Amino acid sequence: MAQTVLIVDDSRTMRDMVALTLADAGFQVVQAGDGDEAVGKLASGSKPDLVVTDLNMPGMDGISLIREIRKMPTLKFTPILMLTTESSDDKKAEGRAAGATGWIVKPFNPEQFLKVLKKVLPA
Amino acid sequence: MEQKAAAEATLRQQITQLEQSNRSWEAFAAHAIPLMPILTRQIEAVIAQTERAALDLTGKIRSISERARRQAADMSRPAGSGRAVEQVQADAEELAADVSRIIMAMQFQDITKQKLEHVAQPLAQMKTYMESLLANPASPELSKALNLLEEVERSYTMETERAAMAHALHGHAHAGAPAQATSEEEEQSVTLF
Repeated sequence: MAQTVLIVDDSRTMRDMVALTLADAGFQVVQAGDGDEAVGKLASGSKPDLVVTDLNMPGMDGISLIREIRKMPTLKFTPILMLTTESSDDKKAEGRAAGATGWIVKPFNPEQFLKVLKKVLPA
Repeated sequence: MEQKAAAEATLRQQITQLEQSNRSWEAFAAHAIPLMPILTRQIEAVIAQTERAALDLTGKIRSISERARRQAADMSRPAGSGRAVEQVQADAEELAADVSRIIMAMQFQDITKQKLEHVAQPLAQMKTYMESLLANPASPELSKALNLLEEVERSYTMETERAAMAHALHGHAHAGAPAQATSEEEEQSVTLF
């Protein structure tokens, strides 16, 4: 069965680019435009195998979203990748402390992105 | 005598207000003038990036189109007279690499959007500040509230933005930034925790 990835980004073009890359590689994709929408989808039963989230979004940002996800018992160990233009070490440390699994700086290279996914996804 | 004293007091008050007003405008100019080259560099970076993305996309579309023509020609030839299977496979691999490159180039929209937002935000702050200055130029609180450069720096998320700001302010990139921070590709990195 195909693994599911939740993509959270306020940019429609970014969500489309990530979704295109993932769909080509055989993943199922669920999309959310910000942290609040993502939490809503997760609370209503969506259980992705991986979450890819932007950092700076209107409403709930990526770090707050990670904290919310880590509070959910069924998603406590789900890998979460940040995909953001932010590259400062301070922010990366904040993401790590919140529970992020990894940090990818935009623009992402699709081939490299898929390699990272394979590393962090449970077999 | 009392009238003269009252007139002098009014005059002193007006001079104080004018001095305060002058200080507020000077404070505004002191913040706004260094901000201009920063915003200009940010806009120039966006122009360069959109041009680069457009060129990238055009190049890759041309390459895909040429490959599609070659493959169509191969299919129209009798079996065995076309190009070797290895060449067709190599074409398919190059095609996949072209699509990857297109996906990377297409992300310029998100990146340039953020850069332009970081231009629009300080412009909006400057507008608000100028409106306050015009409404009450003698307010001593105004010049204290102005923090444009710090707020611009805080809003930045990309190393290229921070480097461009350092370059505009000091003529050199800040420590840790790429010497020629013009390509977002240079920033691409993956960190696994």
